[in-house]
Amino acid sequence: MSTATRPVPPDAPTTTVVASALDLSKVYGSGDTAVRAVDGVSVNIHRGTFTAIMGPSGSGKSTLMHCLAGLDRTTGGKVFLAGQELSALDDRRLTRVRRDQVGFVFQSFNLLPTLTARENMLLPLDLAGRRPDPDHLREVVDALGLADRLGHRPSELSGGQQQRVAIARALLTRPAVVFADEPTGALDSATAEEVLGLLRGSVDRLGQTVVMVTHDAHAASFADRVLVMGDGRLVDDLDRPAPDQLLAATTATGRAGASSRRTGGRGEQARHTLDEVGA
Amino acid sequence: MTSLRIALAELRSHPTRPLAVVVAVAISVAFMVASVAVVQTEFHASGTAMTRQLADSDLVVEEYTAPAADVLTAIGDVPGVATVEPSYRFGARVSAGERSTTATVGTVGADPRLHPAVLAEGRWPSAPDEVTVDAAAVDVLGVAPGAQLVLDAGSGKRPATVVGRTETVAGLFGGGNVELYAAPAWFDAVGGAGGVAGTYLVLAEPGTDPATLVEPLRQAVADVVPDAESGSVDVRTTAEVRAENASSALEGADLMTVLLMVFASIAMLVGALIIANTFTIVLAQRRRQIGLLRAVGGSAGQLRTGLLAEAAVIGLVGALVGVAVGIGVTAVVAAWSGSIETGLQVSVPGTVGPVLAGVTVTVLASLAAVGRAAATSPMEALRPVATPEQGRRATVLRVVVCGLLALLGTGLAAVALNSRAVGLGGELVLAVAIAGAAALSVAVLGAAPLYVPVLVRGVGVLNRVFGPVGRMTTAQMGRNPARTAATCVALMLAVGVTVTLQTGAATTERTLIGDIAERFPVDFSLTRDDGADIPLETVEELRAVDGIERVMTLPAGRADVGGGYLSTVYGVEPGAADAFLPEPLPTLDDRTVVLSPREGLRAGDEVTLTTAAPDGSEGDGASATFTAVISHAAHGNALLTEQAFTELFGGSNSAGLWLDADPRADAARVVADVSSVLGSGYLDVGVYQQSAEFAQLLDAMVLIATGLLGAAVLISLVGVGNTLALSVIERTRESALLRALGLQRRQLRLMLLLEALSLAVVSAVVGVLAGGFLGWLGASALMGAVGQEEAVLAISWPSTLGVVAVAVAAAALASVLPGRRAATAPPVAALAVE
Ligand SMILES: Nc1ncnc2c1ncn2[C@@H]1O[C@H](COP(=O)(O)OP(=O)(O)OP(=O)(O)O)[C@@H](O)[C@H]1O
Ligand SMILES: [Mg+2]
Repeated sequence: MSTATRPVPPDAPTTTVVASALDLSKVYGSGDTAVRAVDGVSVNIHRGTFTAIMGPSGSGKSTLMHCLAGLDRTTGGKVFLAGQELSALDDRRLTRVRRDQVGFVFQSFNLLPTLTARENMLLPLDLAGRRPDPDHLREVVDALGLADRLGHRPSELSGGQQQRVAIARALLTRPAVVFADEPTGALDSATAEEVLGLLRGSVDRLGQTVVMVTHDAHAASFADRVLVMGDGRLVDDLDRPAPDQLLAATTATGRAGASSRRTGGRGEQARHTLDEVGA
Repeated sequence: MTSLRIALAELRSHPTRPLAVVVAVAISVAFMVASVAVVQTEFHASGTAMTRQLADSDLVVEEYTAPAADVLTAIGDVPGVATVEPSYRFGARVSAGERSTTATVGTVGADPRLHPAVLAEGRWPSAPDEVTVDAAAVDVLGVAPGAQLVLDAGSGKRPATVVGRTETVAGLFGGGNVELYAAPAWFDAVGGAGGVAGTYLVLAEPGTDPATLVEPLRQAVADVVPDAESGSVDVRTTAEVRAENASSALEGADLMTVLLMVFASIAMLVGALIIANTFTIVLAQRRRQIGLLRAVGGSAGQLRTGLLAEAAVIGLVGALVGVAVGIGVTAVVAAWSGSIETGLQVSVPGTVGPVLAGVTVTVLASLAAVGRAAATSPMEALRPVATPEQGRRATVLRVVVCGLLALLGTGLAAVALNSRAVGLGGELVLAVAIAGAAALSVAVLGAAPLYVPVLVRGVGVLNRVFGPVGRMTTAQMGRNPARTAATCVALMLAVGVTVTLQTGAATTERTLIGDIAERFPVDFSLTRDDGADIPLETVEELRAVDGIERVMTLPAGRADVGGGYLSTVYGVEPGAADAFLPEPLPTLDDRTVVLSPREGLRAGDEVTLTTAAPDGSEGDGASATFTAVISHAAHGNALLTEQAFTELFGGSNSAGLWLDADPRADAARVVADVSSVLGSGYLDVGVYQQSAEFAQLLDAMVLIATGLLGAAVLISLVGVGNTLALSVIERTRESALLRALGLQRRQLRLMLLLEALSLAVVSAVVGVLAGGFLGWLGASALMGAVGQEEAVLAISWPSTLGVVAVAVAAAALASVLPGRRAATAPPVAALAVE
């Protein structure tokens, strides 16, 4: 696996923190069956950076991301996003933070089947009662190559096109952070490459902040920074790691065979997703 | 057995999914059980009340010709008879001061074993001028023991003192009737010597079998009656009479039960639609699971058996809940009416029948969905939706069948509406109308999947007001048109039947009252029954009554107007009378008389009027001959000029009174106010009161029927709630995605609310339009069948809008629980759901 070195603007504003966790922990269940999915994680995410979160299955990556994005409540510690402490917000205000400050790209089921691609893209703006900035819209749509697909419904789009619509939706609100949980998990490698390129491009060209959970070392190599999790803790924090560095970090924490098991699992999920979308 | 096990496992793991079926079945079964049980309990109570009058007697003798004294002696002389007492029942007019009512006066004799009622306070009457009252009399007349009454049993007024109060006979059908009791002496005084009692209660000597006395008694009584009447003597043991009363009460109950079953069937039909819809949705949600069962080797037959077993179990649970609720409702009604004292009558057929009906309907309603689910191949079951090809064929078939039915229905309706032109009469009009209505109903309901999506899109335009939430709702509802349509059909049917009934009744009312008003144009047309002049202050007081627009006194008298018709004669001033009549009085001069149309009378006939006394008895017999003018303006009386009146009656007076009421006034109140000004002693030949009473009666009937159809509306709303709840389950991930993207909880709830409201509005609009037309059709046919002129369409807006409001409000309510369920799920948890 070879990774092209990406040009990083020399004056990247790595100093401004847009999201951070302070001694964040999340416990599922209670008593004997309690699971510490995230266990005292502290991390700062800087504006205009592309951060990847890696780690073996069950290490708490998704949970950490959900807590950072205001999708889920924390059990302990604090989460700051765009200057607000999320755990202090009620559901109404938390929802508004998600709507205005956060963009999401999930592994699958990103789009509402009843809406067209364009309607899906504009949904968060619509919900906020905001009109899209036409220049920004055109720029995003062109950059993602969706101009001739706007009137299609999700069932009429390929998996890659659906992910691109989801990315467009995430970028259109100009959120503080775009969170992506295995955005390429259901895609073939060529399409995955394309999607990763788009995320990278949004950071480079639009100054967007992106946090992406991934299992794939190649995907992680698109990032500026890689956080490695193990057993709910942050075990490594790599700055623009070289491929072999990445491999070493993930195999050190990962269990043998986990990767191959996941590949099979993901294939199954992929088929499932297509069913879902067709329905 | 495997099938049943899988079915039960499914029910255990998702006990709430078929909840709507359970509720729908429970409501219809409860309705049936309660209908049967309430009617039987109430009729049993009134049957018991009837026999209560026979007290502890052993035998009942009925003989309606001979004087009571003779019969009593004859019976008393029969060996083995211990006591005999007459049991008179007279109808009487009872008044206490200003208030008066009609009442039944029964006999209470000396022997306490033959007392027909239970004393609540005071004592039994013994003197001829004493009576007891009951609670109804206390209500109506406002009297208590010690009060003075005036009774008129047809032979003049006589005063009486209230000496006691009896317990009221309990029951829904027992109340309201005023029952007084008096000693035999009162009846002797009223009926005079030779008075006939009709019924005699006999107590046998201790140790004598009453049955052995039947023949001797018949002989003895037959000896004292005229030979021609000896066959009419009827002697039965009290036990026999009781049994007959009970069985005739049950016959009455049967008739009423059949009527209630019509309403129960409508509720059941709506329930069946809901059940079918619920099974379709639930089985669609289980498509993958069913496909898996098929893939691992389950045969279609096994699946079908399992799913039907599941339906039967669900239906049985619903039916049993329904039986419990139905008995509970019966107990509440019986406790309220007081019939609970004579025992709840819950029969085995009255419970087992509804349970069987509930289970059968559930299984039948599930057949289509089960058949579809079981017949799918494993591959097909794993694929998403029905192929478009199938969909199109089904649609074409639907268009053709519904189109033909609509044409047929329209044709039949046109024939029924123009029955006169077509020359159709009597019951045939009704039959044609019913056939037309049935065809149209099936067409409207069957075509729902064709037009409901269009209407939903129409309502969707309104939803746009709510921005993206409204738009998403409309898109959502367009996604599953079959399901949306099925839900609408149930609600449409319930609303439609209710509105049909309301419009039919309103149209009938308007038509008949219009007809009455035409024949009796003067609202109140009164004379004093003693022929005296109307006091001036009475006229002034009437003028002050709110809702009375015009008051006029005019000469009035009684006369035979030919052909043996005794009638009130008014002397009218054409100018003054016109204000009370819808059209000017026809040519009236001193040689003409205006009469209402009647058999054998033609305009221009010579009619001789012969005067009579005010009470109708023969007067001085003055007579004169006039030329008849025929017009409804006479409203059943005879109109002369004042001049002709004076000549005929030998003088003028002001004994007649015409009142004109504001048509918008509350009729019942106007009648009450006018009566309270007039008091007794007036004869009203106007029609205002009858119209008001008729309208009130119809209104009450519509209200009761609307209440009974409420069960159907309720069930259909369960359907709305259920469709929403199930689609919320289906859309868990979508809801989660929306929440993740920033949809507020209340916006998610709003989406479901809008969905429910759209369904309700579409159904209500179609239901009201179809119901309105069918109601008018039915009423027109009914009017045609009874030979009425053209029916006048009338919609009872308050009750119709009431039904619509209830449907819409309840649909909104039905969205609350699903909305809460959708909105409280945290976005992450919901996203994780597979
Ligand atoms: N809703 C939940 N209830 C209970 N435990 C949970 C829940 N969600 C996650 N967990 C547990 O928390 C731990 C972390 O889960 P998480 O989904 O964050 O892992 P992950 O790193 O994203 O794994 P993967 O790579 O498989 O997606 C796991 O042990 C998991 O079993
Ligand atoms: Mg994960």
